[in-house]
Amino acid sequence: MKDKLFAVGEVILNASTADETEVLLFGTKSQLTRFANSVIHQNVYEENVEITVRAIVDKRIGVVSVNLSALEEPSELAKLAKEVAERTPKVVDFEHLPSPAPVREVQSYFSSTIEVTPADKASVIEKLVKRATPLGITLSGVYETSEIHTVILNSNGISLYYPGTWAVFKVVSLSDTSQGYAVQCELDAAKLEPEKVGERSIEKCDKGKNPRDIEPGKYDIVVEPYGMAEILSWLAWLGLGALSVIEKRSFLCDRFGSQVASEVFTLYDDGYHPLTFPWPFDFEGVPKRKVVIIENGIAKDVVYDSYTAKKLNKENTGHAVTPEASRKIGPIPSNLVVEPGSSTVDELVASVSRGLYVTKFHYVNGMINPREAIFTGMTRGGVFYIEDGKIRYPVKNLRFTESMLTAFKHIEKVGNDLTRVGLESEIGAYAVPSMLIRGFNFTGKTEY
Amino acid sequence: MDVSEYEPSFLEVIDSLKQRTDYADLRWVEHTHEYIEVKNGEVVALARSSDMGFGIRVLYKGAWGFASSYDLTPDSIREVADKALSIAQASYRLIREPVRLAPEDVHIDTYVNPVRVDPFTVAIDDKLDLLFKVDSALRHPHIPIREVFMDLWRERKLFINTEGSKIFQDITHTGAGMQVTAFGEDMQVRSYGNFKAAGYEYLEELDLISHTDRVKEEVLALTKAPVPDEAVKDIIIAGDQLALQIHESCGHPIELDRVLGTEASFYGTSFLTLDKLGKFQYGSKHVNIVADATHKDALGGFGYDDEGVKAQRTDIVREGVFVGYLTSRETASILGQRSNGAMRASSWNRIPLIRMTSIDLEPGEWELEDMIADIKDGIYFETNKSWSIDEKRLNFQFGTEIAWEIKNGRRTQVLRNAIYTGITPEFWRSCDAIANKKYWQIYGVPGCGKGEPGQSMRVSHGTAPARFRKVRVGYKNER
Repeated sequence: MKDKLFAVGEVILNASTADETEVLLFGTKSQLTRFANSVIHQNVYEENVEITVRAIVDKRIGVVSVNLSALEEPSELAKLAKEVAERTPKVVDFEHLPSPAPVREVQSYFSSTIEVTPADKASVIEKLVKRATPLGITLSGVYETSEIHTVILNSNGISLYYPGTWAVFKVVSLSDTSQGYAVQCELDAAKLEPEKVGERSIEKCDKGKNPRDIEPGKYDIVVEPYGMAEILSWLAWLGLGALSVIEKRSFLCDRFGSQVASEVFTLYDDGYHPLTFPWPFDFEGVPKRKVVIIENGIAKDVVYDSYTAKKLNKENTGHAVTPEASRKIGPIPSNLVVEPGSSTVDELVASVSRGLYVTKFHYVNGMINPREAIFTGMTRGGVFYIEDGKIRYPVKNLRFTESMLTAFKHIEKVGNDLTRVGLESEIGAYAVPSMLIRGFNFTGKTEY
Repeated sequence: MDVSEYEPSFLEVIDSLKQRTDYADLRWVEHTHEYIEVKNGEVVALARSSDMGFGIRVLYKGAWGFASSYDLTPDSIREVADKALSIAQASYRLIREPVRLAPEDVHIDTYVNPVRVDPFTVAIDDKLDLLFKVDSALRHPHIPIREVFMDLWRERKLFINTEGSKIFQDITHTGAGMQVTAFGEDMQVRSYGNFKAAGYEYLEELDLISHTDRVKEEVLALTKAPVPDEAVKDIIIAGDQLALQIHESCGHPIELDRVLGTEASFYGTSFLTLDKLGKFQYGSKHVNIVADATHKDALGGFGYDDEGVKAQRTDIVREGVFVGYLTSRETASILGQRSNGAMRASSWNRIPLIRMTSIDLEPGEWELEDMIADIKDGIYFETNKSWSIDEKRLNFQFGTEIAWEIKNGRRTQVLRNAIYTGITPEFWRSCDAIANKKYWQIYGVPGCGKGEPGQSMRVSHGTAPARFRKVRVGYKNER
């Protein structure tokens, strides 16, 4: 794959007559087994090579993308990108494409991951189904193994290659009245423990049977890493990148240097962190830097790409997204890490006299009031009532509507269970522990 | 690209799979996409993309397998066919009941949606001229962010199956819109735009320029507007917001694969379980909802779905009673029906799933002003801003860009950050008026998500404003 990507990329780069040219290539192979009602209903394989060319002509930018089968003649793609650039008005603030800089080595490619076969996956699922069936529980989920190869070349001399592998095993267990959710994401499939994942999901579903009604209101919550990661993902899109600060859309605007979360909360982005999906450079080929976003509750900084760094006279932190989207959405942190605390999950629960244990949130939305980070969403995957420091019984799902600025100020304890949580809509992961949040605002309920 | 050069290899593998499988189909798909966006007078996106490949789906002893590739050489096509078969053989290890497909006629046909001006032949300069004109018209000292976009999309696809069907489709979509952002106590946005299955001529109909003054005035009004308190009120939902309400609270729960549990690991299941078909009171007697894939000008319209089933118009809710699902050949056979043609894949590298077509609320008899006149204390909600619904599609909460207070039968002051919430069947049962066909229009939704691996689908909803009684609005949060 590596040789093929470089061969195509170099032909395009050499054929370009633009002032500056960048070629970004992704080669992917992915196999995914999906099961539901305890049977495999979808078993799919795909491979693809996608190419994006960014041409610069007198500060005018043209971007063209194709996949390899739609690429008739590589040199034509360079020509087309230049033609698009020539028809575009100047971007006054644009200076140059980045130049080469040293990139640290990091291993994200494991051949054990690509060696897992559909038959291996079927065997794992088969075993878990045998465990769940006598309990009146059916299993749904996915077992995905993927590889992605990235090549970035530009006319200033950047020439980078990075391969990665990705294995996800997710189990959603369902009884007539309950649900259990568990997932494990690894770069190296040999480290996956599918039986443990399945056991966790089945156990939660079994304990969650016949949930009781509960009224909305304020509850202290202990929320697992899956739930917190979903919140962080929305925060990242809404306000942790420099363009959102330039445009004053970010909830951190006017709050830098101020307390935006409790003292126990520290958030940073680290492209090399082993419990994320390490990726040593961004989609412009700039090495990623660790960026402390919130330190002991104080808002510190956001992430930058080449355009926003220049605009704000800051250092480029290596967080550019792909060229099609970079000027539209700006840089985004993709390797978020919450500094773990010292409490075990049992200790978090023990600190709650009346509250809820939340596995996961569902359909979170942060658009009600982005500047105040007011989010809504549902609980999912198992919710339990906590009384006097102990989990007592399962309850039905609730809707929350809450400002995350308020909620984060009420984080009282951070767990020590730092966990890799894969992003649901793309390859990528955050490292997040469980947390105890006081007085979380639930505003509605549902029937199950 | 001309698909005919690959056809001999496609036909050869389909012929070979006919001997080795219960059923197989092959889809070749080519996408062309152009997205242009002007933000505050600068072009922030001018991206063209094209993408091509093929996928083969096989049914082996009642178990599915699917494989796909960008590599269209004859050897690769044969390898992908073999891979799809070996994957199906792995699936076969864990099936309970073999999949059976509802019967379908053999179709040899071509479908092309009506396009007067091919959007990919219009000069970039002309497109930029239009966007810059709109951007310029949106300028205002108190509006710091102006965004204007154009989205042009084409799908060409060939479907061949072992039953003898061979269908070519060429579908073009054109969309455009604008959004302005202003700041008062918080951030407010206001937008206008839509998508249609049409060519570049649609931009004339959309007439972005004529909406710029209204959009500006409304965003500025929002920066000074109050937030509604938590209360129970009568509400009217404008057509564009109602499109999303239908999408989330009707469109998704009627997907029969979802009802049967195959989406449980991601987006969830459905409250519209099989026992409810034909007898469940989904809404009031005023509520009639159809799934209509026969619209030639809607994003949810097409000639055939990705199982080669001809586009249809079918009842979903009739006088408030839930009477139909969206189905595939596999799921329809469980109900003893024929498929109503809702299986679509987002591209060549994805397996078809049951997806919305155009899920339309039929118009009522009311004039909008009369609907408002009957409300003493209520809210009028327009244009979606926030959306969330539980995994069985019962508890929802939506927020809109703008709302207006209704007092004593008249729309009065603008309200910001307005939300409403409810439980789906209770909400639709509270519908007591729907505006007439003069107010009815189709809204395109170009990014409906479903599936693992994820698939983004283009769907649509025909709606007219509707009135709902005693709905919870706003929310309480006291510390």
